[in-house]
Amino acid sequence: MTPRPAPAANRRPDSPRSSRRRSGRILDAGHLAPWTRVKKNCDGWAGNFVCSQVHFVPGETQYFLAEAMPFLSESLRARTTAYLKDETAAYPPLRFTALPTDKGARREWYPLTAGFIDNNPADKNRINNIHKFPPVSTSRATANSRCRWCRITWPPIIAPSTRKGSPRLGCHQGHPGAALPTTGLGGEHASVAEQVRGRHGHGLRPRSGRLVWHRGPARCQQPLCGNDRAGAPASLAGDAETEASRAGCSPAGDRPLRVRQDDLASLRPGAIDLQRIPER
Amino acid sequence: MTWHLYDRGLLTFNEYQKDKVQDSRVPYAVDEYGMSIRLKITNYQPNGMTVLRDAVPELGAFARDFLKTETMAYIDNMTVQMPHWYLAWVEQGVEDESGCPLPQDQYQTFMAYAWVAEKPAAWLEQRVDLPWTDRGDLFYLHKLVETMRAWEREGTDSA
Repeated sequence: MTPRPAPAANRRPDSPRSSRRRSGRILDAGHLAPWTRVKKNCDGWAGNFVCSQVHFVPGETQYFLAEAMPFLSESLRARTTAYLKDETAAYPPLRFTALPTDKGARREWYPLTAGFIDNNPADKNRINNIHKFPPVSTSRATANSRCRWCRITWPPIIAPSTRKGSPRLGCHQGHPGAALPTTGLGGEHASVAEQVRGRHGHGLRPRSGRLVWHRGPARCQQPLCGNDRAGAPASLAGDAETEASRAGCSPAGDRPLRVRQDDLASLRPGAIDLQRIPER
Repeated sequence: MTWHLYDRGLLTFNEYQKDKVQDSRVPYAVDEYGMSIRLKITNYQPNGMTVLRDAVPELGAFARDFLKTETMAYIDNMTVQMPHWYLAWVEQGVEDESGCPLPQDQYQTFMAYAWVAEKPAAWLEQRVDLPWTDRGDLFYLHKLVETMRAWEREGTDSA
C-alpha cells in the first residue's frame, strides 16, 4: 500500500497579521469560557474529543498570550497586558484549577462555508467533517481493525445479552433477552419498538397478545453485515434463547464483516516499506 | 480489561514496524490481570498522543537534544498513516472513535516539527492551517508564534 500523498499545502496564513488578529479577537471577547469536552462551549459531537487541559486552565491562557507578546504591536501589547492583569485578578491561576464552564464568551467553531472550500482545493478533504456529526473514518486500516475487533469482542457481549441482566443491550444488538418486557406491543421501550419494526428483517412481532421472535430472511440485510443464521456464537449453545438468537443478526459468527479481499491483502505485514516514505 | 480486546485490532498498525525504535507499543498499565500493552499514538482514554502533550518550548528543546530519534519516530508513526495531519476538521483514521483529528494532536505534531525536527519556517507556515475555533484557539496562536520564531531564526523578516 503506497502511503497517501499529503494534500497540496494551504495558502500562506500571513503569520504576523494572523497572530495579531487572533490575539485581538481574544482581547475583544473578554474572558473566554473554557473549551472543554463538556458541551457548553462549542456545540456538536466533536466537542467531546477536545480534552486537552490547555483551554480550561487559567494559567495556560496567560502563557500562550505571553508567548505571542513579542510579535504584537505596541498598542496590542498594552491591551494584552491589561487583559492578563484582569484575568489574573478574576481567576488566579493558583486558586482555579479549571475555569467555570458557564462564564465567559463562547469560542464557537471556526466557520467553514461551502464557498470557502470551493476556493481552497486542499480543503475538500474536510468536506465530510464540516458537519457537527462527522462520520467515522473509513480508511482501510480502520475497517480492518474494526472487523477484527468485532470478531473478538462481540461473543462476550452477545452471550450475556441473552440472559437476564442486559436485555437492553441484547435488544440493541438484535437479540431478544429473557428479561425483555413482553407486555403490550413494544411501546414501553424504544429498543423493543425497533425490534417490532423488524429493522433487521427479523425481530419481535405481536402474536397471541405477546411478543414472539420472528425469523427474518436468511441473511441480514444490513449494510456491511454479511452474517446469516448459521453464524450464531458457540457460547449460546444450550441457552434457552439459542433458537431465537440464531434467527438474529450475529456478527460474532465465522463470517467476518464484508471487507474487500484486496483491502485485506494490502494490509499484510511488510506491505508498507517505511524506507520509501518520502521526505515530509 | 476490555482495552485488551479493543487494542487487538489497533495493534495491526504495528505489523509495519521493523525495529524497536519504530515499535510504538509501550507498557500502558499494570493491574491485577497483567500488563496492558498499548499504542502510544492511540491511547483511548484520555484521547490523543502523549509525546509532547501540553509541552513547553523547554521540553521541546530537551527532546531535540536528547530524544530526537525517539520523538520523531513517534511523530512519524502518526504522520505516515495520516499525511494530512495538519488540516483541521479533516477525516482521519488514526484515533479510534473520533472521525476528525484531535486539535491537541495536531498541535503537538506541529510543535515536534518546529522544536525537535526544526523544520524551515516556510514548511511550518504551510501547515499552520486554520483555527478550530472562531476565537480563543490557543493552539493556533502558538503555531503562528513558532512559525514567526522560525522566520527569525532564519534571519528573514516575515512582517
